Amino acid sequence: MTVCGDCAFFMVEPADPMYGVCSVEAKEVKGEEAASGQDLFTIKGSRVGRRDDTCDKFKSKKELSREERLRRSY
Amino acid sequence: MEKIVQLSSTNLDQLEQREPSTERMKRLKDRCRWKSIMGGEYIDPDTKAGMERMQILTKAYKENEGQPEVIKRAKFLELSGREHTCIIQDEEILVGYHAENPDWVCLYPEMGYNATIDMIESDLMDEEYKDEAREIAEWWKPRNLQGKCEPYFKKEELEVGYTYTTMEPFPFALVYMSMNVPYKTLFEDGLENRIQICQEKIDNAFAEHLHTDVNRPYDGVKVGEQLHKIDNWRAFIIAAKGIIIWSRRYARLARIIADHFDVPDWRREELKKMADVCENCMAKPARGFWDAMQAKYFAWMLGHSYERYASGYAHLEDNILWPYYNKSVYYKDPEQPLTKEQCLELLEEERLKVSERGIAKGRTYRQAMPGANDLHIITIGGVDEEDRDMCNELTDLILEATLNMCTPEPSFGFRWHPNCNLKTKRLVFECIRRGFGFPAIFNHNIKKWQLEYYFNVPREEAARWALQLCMSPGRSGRYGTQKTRTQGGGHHYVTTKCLEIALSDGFDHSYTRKQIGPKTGDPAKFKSIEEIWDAYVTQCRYACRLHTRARDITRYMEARYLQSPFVSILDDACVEKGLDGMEDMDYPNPWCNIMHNSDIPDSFAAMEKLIFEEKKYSMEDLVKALRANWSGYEEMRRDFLAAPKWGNDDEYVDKWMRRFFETNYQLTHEELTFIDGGKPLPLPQTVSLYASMAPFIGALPYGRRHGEVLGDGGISPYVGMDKKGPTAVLKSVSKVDHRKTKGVQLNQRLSHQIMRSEKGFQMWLSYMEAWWNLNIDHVQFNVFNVEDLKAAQKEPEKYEDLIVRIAGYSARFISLPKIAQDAVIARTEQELGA
Repeated sequence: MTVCGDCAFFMVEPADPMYGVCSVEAKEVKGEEAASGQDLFTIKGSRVGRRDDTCDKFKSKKELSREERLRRSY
Repeated sequence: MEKIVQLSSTNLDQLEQREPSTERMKRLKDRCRWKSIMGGEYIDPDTKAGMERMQILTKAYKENEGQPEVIKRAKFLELSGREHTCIIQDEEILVGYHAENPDWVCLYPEMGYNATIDMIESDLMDEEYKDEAREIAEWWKPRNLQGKCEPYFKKEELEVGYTYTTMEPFPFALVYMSMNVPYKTLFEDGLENRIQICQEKIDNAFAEHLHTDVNRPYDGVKVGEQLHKIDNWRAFIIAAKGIIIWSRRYARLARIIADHFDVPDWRREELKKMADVCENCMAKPARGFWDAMQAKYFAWMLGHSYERYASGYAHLEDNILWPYYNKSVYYKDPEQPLTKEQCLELLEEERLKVSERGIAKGRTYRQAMPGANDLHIITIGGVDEEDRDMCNELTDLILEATLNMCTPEPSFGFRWHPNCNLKTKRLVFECIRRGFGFPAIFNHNIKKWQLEYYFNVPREEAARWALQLCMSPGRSGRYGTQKTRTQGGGHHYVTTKCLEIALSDGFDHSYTRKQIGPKTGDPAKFKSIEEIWDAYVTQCRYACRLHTRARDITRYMEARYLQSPFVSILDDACVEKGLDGMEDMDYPNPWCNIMHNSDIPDSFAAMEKLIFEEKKYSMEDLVKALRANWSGYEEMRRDFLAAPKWGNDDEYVDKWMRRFFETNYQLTHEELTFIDGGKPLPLPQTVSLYASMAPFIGALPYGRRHGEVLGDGGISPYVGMDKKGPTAVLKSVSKVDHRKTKGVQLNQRLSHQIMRSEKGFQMWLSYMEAWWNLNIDHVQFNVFNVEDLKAAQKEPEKYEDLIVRIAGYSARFISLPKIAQDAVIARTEQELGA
């Protein structure tokens, strides 16, 4: 059975590895919408438990090559 | 002056196309095992977590159960000296690594459980090691810093301390430390002399106090005092002997390769010389530049990556190495003759060795330093106590090596003073112009004054200050250097989160959905801007004090359970007093970092103008808009975004920045006394947390939405909001009293075209003159072409050498997560001369 911690959007939280930051709401924001007036990538995070049940946004993690890691958005 | 400028200008193209000085350095750069991190994860899939340090540490502790703790620490180093893998990579001249494989990192289970188990359960550790690693982590759980410190906190306090919201996570779970190895002592004395001094101390203690001479009085108080000192001196000796063995095993390995491996003749001769260097460099005083460089590298590796983990590379490099450079290059009959070119090659290789250092620090600071593997900041330049230029030929050679190698690490801080010579300043400019983002420039006089005034550092030593990490000065000589982060920088509080929850009665609606601060009242009922300010300050005070307690308890336990006998034997004060560096409380140099600073004055100016002066909106409107993340409140958001913003020489908002700084001084320096008696100074800087903390901070009153980048560090304006040119930024910045801080980070992006033009240097010098005359503490520059950065986002593989300044460090642009890349691109490009 998969849990939230298995999801590609799950980023381990800085201090307690039993928790994570859900990054499903990461997106590009156009300059006119951003406080800076410039195109920006944003991540609206929310706290989730590593062993929480998965939600309908669940996406499986996969092992990334170096090239794929360099192209990650976050 | 004219002559130098003219000479350098004619060589601009040559400077642009620099490359490693030898074919060997080109090959080593191509092979460099970068350990950069993105989003808290290592970019290179070959980076793995090793087992050897954990195994040796645990074995040493189990074998020495019942011994004093400091002896156990020393026995760990002794065993490591005998058993740890030695690695000499092809063609390298400087040797040493702290894990069993140069691609790997080692773990620190004695420092914190959370960070250790995070590593073990991640892809970083191969499956075949996981069971043993888990067993070791569990064995250490009650014995490590986290296990020792947690009982002094309530459950709800731990919940706040382990959530990255209003404050940095508690240091005992964080595995992030920093320090400053007294390299000078190692060069001047060598460990054998240090061992002899410690042995004499032990002998004297027995002769004076632990004797059975019936003709002399017996004083039990003195006897009691000596026991702990004797343990420490013994530990120092055990550790130092172990380190000498380790270094000499490298010598042996070099000889084995020379004698038994198929290597070219030139390399065979070189390996024999390397063996001679490794045989000597830790045990004896340095004979020349090679000994000093190898000793420095070993001591840094051991002190920062092995004895325990500590960030940084604090030292005044051109000053402490100068005597040995001078000996090797210019003495008539040098013991260790070298050419200037050979010294340059050693300096170039140092840059690669630092870039290869992989560190398994806690995730908080892995996320905080995207694009780097740690903070490695060397200090150079400046003037002495008589204001005489301390820049020398070695300063220039260090900068030349930097230009040649084009690596983001190590970074430099340059101690700026008008008396520093123009040739060195030109090389500093060339590094900046190339886009490295370093050297960062520090006001030598402010730093020196600060150490004398606040921390009673004698004038001569204060003049030789070195950066401890990104921004803060400290001692750099033979004694009293920082041994742990809880002696110097210890924590940060997050002003933006404090403001966010001050506007929701201490409850965190945006991230944790929990009460994380004290109840400070229903914000919808606040009647004045002062009520908001008071609520905000109360949230800051709570965060600051809770974390300070965690910091001090960590220090208390470090002194009892996490001693550093190797680093301590290099400190004259530790040896004299028989105290481990962790427990020597006589040299506090503390600061508190303050996060995301422009967000606060920008928010208060907007609230003051639109709610309390113009009365266009109510507090209730604002609270609703923030809870909705400004969604459905677009016109209102535009008004709040249009309110005065910091960095434009506008007193309406600048007065809030002044108040913000004064309050930080009050909350830290005036209200706190640390366990060592130190009174911390505020240090407004953000590392790269303006990007990596963005997911944790909800909407803010100046118009920022949840998830957007935060204030860009220290005293820097918010990205894109400084619209009136570089002079307006400097004028705003100069309105704050920089002497009431430990350092103030100022990021500026300068015009790529102007900096690369023939007049660039002169225009930059004029800018620096204005900066100096305004008594500003710091400035660092980004110089890049936006098109290059955007192209690098699309095809990262083609832009491996593209470096940008992030915060107190620089990184390869392609190694940054997109949120940080975009924030760098969004920094306002200032036109010099505007």
